Amino acid sequence: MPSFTTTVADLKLLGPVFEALVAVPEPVETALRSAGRPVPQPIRVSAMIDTGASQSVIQAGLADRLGLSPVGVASIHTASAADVPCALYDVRLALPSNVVAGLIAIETSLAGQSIQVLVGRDLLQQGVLVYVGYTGTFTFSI
Amino acid sequence: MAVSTERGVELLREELATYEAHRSELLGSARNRWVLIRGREILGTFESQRDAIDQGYRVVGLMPFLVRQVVEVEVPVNFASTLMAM
Repeated sequence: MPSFTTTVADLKLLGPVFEALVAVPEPVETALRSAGRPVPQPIRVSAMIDTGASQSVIQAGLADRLGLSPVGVASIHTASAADVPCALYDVRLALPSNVVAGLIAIETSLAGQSIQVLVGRDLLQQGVLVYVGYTGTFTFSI
Repeated sequence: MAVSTERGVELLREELATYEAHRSELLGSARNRWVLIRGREILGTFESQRDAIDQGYRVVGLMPFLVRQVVEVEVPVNFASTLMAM
């Protein structure tokens, strides 16, 4: 199982954060190449594993920058809002150590945060997360 | 400046209306399956979300399409996380 391990300077303060790339999904890349159109460059993001998120989230605007069209709509409940409709986007997430995963991510605002992607339990259910607090490291295998 | 999150939903306005218009019949024939919709056209129902999305790419291409699970009651996605800015 491919995996990556990251050490965070202050894991308690910052959470399990890591650098990743968000890219168009494979079918979109294939279609663009077949049509002789340029494939948008992957976007470097700060991501965080969030066990409180039942589904992964991408920052509003990322899908637009990748030229992606939505594939669905979901209603979300948060601590402060209910039944907010949000678009769903099919994306590819390249994690450290060449781990690549496909996601159907909810697009919403992560304004005020230093992260652009939340990796939720939809991706976690495919793998194993080991969080070692006293060493400031975590490992995600998928 | 906050980036609008409404554009993506707005792009699927017609598809969402199509889903609602056909929801009763879909519940009768395709309950719990995933329906693929482009505009006013239902393009099929599928066993999984991924199957429906892949078919969407094959049939619709790079334009927006709606994939939605046919259920009696829509269950919102819950976030215990406080990172969501809404």
